[in-house]
Amino acid sequence: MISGFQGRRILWWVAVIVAAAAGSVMLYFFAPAEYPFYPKCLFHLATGLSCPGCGSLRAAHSLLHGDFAAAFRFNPLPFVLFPITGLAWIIYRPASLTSIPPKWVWALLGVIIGFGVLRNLPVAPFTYLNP
Amino acid sequence: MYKILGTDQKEYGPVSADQLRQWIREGRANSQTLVQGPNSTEWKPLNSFPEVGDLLAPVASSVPGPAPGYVGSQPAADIPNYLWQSIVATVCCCLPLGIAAIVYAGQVNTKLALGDIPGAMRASRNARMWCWIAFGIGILVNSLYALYFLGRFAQGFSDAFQL
Repeated sequence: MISGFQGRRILWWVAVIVAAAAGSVMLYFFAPAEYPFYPKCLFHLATGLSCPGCGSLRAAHSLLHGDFAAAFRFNPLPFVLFPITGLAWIIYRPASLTSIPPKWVWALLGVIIGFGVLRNLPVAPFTYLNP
Repeated sequence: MYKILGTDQKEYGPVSADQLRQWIREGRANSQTLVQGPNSTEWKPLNSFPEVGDLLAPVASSVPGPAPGYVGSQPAADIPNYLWQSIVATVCCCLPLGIAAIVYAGQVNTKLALGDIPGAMRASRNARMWCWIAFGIGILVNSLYALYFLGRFAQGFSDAFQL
């Protein structure tokens, strides 16, 4: 017997999977660099600078076509963060996001902001971080 | 009069001692539930109130935990910090407001580590609020952008066919 709570949870996951699948199909066939109908980054629209998430859609498009190098070039942050956080999750097995030691949350914030600053520096190695 | 803090992070009360005793009997409050006593603004676990102590022991042993949706204590790890939502809001919706949400998410963990449960709940509410604001602004501005783009498209279309 599925309770109302479980039913809503299952429905939620089905919705997430369907949306992710639809998004992937769209990203596969329509390159974000060429079509204007994708959501825009407000920070980039307002300032012209790249935010830590800028390039994610183009990276996802490249990834779906198997081009890891181009995906990394558009946004290296997930390639660095996902393996590290995934590994830490497997090793430490926190009960929830709330039970993570605070310093790791602050470190994560530092990495996100630091990456955002570095990729906007107009000097040689950092310009490669700018999509 | 007493006020109690529910699993939904809302305050209930003020209620009389009799009503509080009723809630304990119904399993809506247990020894770990945070309560504000008469003439006090400090949140303390219910088991530090001797006036209802006679009810707590049997309730605590017979009811392992409050049923979902019931007013009752909340294990510290269950206070949501909305961390992943904050990060998604930061990289997808609105950078400055998303950062504010991540800061509140971090405060949830910091305050819990210090044992400040009401403070952690406040930070949790703030993290949720800033996630929603960042998300709302992202949707709003992108909708306006889509309208502008549609307008441009319609203009180009009518120009092309000299309508």
